[in-house]
Order: sequence, then C-alpha cells, then structure tokens
Amino acid sequence: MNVQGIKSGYAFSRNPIILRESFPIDNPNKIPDGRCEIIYAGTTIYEGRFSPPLSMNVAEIADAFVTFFNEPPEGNISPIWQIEDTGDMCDRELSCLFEFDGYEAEYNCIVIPGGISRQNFKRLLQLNKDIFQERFFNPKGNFFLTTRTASWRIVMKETELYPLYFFPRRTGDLIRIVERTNGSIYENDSFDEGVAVLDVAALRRYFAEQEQVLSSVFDVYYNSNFSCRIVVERCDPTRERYRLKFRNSLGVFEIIELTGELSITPEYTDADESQFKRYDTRTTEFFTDRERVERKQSISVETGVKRPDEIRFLMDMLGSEEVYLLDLTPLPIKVIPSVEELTYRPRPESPQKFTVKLEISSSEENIMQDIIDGSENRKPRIFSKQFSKQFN
Amino acid sequence: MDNNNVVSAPQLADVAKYYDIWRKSHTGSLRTFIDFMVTPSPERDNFVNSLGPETSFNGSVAVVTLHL
Repeated sequence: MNVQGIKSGYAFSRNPIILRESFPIDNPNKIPDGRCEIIYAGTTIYEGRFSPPLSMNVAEIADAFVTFFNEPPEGNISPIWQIEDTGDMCDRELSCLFEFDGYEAEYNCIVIPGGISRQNFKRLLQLNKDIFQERFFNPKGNFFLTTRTASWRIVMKETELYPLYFFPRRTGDLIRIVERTNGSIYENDSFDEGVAVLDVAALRRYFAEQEQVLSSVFDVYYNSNFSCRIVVERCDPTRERYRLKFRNSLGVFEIIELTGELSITPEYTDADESQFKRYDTRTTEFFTDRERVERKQSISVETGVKRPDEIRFLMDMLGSEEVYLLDLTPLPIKVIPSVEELTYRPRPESPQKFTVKLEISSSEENIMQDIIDGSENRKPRIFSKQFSKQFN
Repeated sequence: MDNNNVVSAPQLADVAKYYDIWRKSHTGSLRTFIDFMVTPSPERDNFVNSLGPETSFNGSVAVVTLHL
C-alpha cells in the first residue's frame, strides 16, 4: 500500500494520511464495490465502500477519535516523567483494512494528535522525508514537541517553563543532561518507548538540591548524541504578569506570558431581551420585570514586548483550541483568545507589543466569590494555604 | 532563529553558600531560597546585583552567574 509521506509508522491526525492502492480488476465489465474498515484502539470507527483505484485520506476520521496526551502530575519533582508507555501507544494504533474482489490490503500506524504546518508538510514531501524521522525521533537535533522554536537552542522564559514532550524510542535509551555552570550531570534511562516529558523546572530544582548548583543553561544528550541546548531566560520583574497555557499545534501544552496591563469587561448583552411584562391583578396593569441576566466577560491584556520568534509562538496560541488564563484567579480560566490587530515586522527596529482579547468561555448567571478548595469560609490556621507571616 | 538579546536567568555556582548569605537577611528553608531565586522579583535582582554577578557569553546568550 502506498502511503504519502509516512515512513516512521507515526502520523499526525491533522496532517493528511493518504492511502493509495490500485487493486487488480479481473473483469472490467463488472467492477464490484470494495470494502474498507478503519479500526482505532481496537474499535471499528468507520466502515465504507470504495471503487478502485483507492485514494483515501483517513486523517480526519482518526482526528475525531484521537485523544491528547495527559499532563504530568501537578507538583512533579522528577525531571523526566513517563506520560505513556508502549501499551498506551498501542491504544493509539490506527488500522485500515481494505478488501476488493478477494484482494486485501492493510495499513497500520500510530496516530498522534496535532499536526505540522501545510507549508512544512509540502516541503517534507518534496524532500521525501518524514517529520517524525527528521525531527521528533532524531536524537541528533531538537526532538521536543515544541512550537517555540525549531532550532537546536530552545530559549524558554523562566515564567514560561512547562514540561517538554518527547518520544523515547526504545526502552533503556539514555538521556543525559549537562548543566553548563559546573558541568554536573543528570542521567535517566528508566523510561519506556512511548511519550515522556522533560520538566525543566523540576530539573533546575534537582540540580539545586542534589548538586548545589542553580543553572539556566542545559545541554541535552540522547544516547550520547548532542541533541539541543535549553536556555532559561531571565524575566524582568513586572507589576502585572499573566500566563496563558495553550495547546500548541503539535497537540501538547505550552505557556506564554503576557506582561502588560489587564482589564476585565463584564458584558450583559442579553439584558434587554430578558425583560418581560407581568400583569398585576391588584392594579390591573402590566409592569416590567426581568429574569436573571447572563454575564459574559472579556479580558483585554497587553502582551508586553515580543521578539519576532515570540510573535510566531503568540500566533500559535491565538489559533489554539484550548487556552487557559493562569495567574488571574487561583484556578485556570478557559478563554478564547483573539487579537484585533497583529501587524508586526519580522525585522523590527523598535519594540513590538500587541493587545490580546480573551473571551471567558463560560457565561454566568449567578455571580459570587470563587470556591477554590472549599475552605475559604473558615478562619485560616497555621498550616492552611491562607497562612501568612503575620500572626493570625 | 538565533537571538542576540537573550539574558539567562541568574545562576548560582554554589547554592549552599548563597543560601547562607541570603539567610542573614531573610527567613526560610533552602526550598524557599530556591523559590526566591527562580521567581523574578525586584528583591531577587537586588540580591544578585549586590553580590557582583559575572556575565559570560555562551554563543548569543549572556549568562549571569554568581561565583564565590
């Protein structure tokens, strides 16, 4: 079976998975229908018919069923954390079975949620290369699932640290991380083939606590191959700092910070429609009454100064299907981001910043103080979260 | 794309020694000190600047380190 551009057995659900096969036709006067069955995670998700020659894009069918990777647990202290092992990855297997006039064809691959840009997809097809082999399975380059950069040097602001996802290839592979301050080494070979994360914040803490060095520059080696360098960038102290956690194009979460002023605009757009007339039997007249009005909220926040590479990262966030605003309230708020004007210069001569509008995805009728852990109405005690240095 | 204006987060070559210095004017465990050092704040900048950080260049990254 001819498969367009997939050589590694892995495919993204948002990029075409085009299967082609020219079944032999024994009797041209009577061409029967072919049958196809698509199975994902052991369950038949699609059955249909086709006429040869077969040319079918199964990506959209798979995309409807594929699930995103889990996140590492909150408060994780392990620099490397396994998200999915070999067994979990088997549940991501897509099997396509085709049968035509006694002839059978089959194709299997692992489907990963997300995708690369169309431009990159076309370019890789021209070069006859596979994105997984070239990047995500390549130990001699930046193999992390990040849209922050495609370079060998990953620069992350210290407030934007979030675990970097990657695909360990074989059980027993060795990751060695060398911090560049004193040359201390962290090694880990206790992960399986599947999906894992490198938690840079946990890695910094590991070196600080175990090796007595707080480092911001790390070299990553995979099976003795130099892969990439991770640089933790300093952030200026600011009065207002908000972070957006978003699902990037490659299907995993990343964080981008916004350091400008934030303002919230409550909108009671249905206020007029909720009014109605009620009849008063005592005075025999109609008076105006109203139901509770739904409140929508939108947030306007400035991005702070962004470099051209950060603007591309910002654009990935603006197109994301899942974005959460952190740091405004103790719990993340799901928002839908947009921007009224995003005109930028790739080679700027002056600092560039923009205003992002965030629409809170759920509206409210009943307005009250937030419940975080259910203990807000109690007097804080010495071990409670609300305890401060002042005696209480 | 390489950047020519990246400054690293402050590094400590010896966490224990700088923790001892920090403890003279602050209260907290080693973990509190690490939290202090990995969180941007004017207090952290003052602390780092008061101890004469060394700036070296690693490619296009300016690396700021406190060495005793």
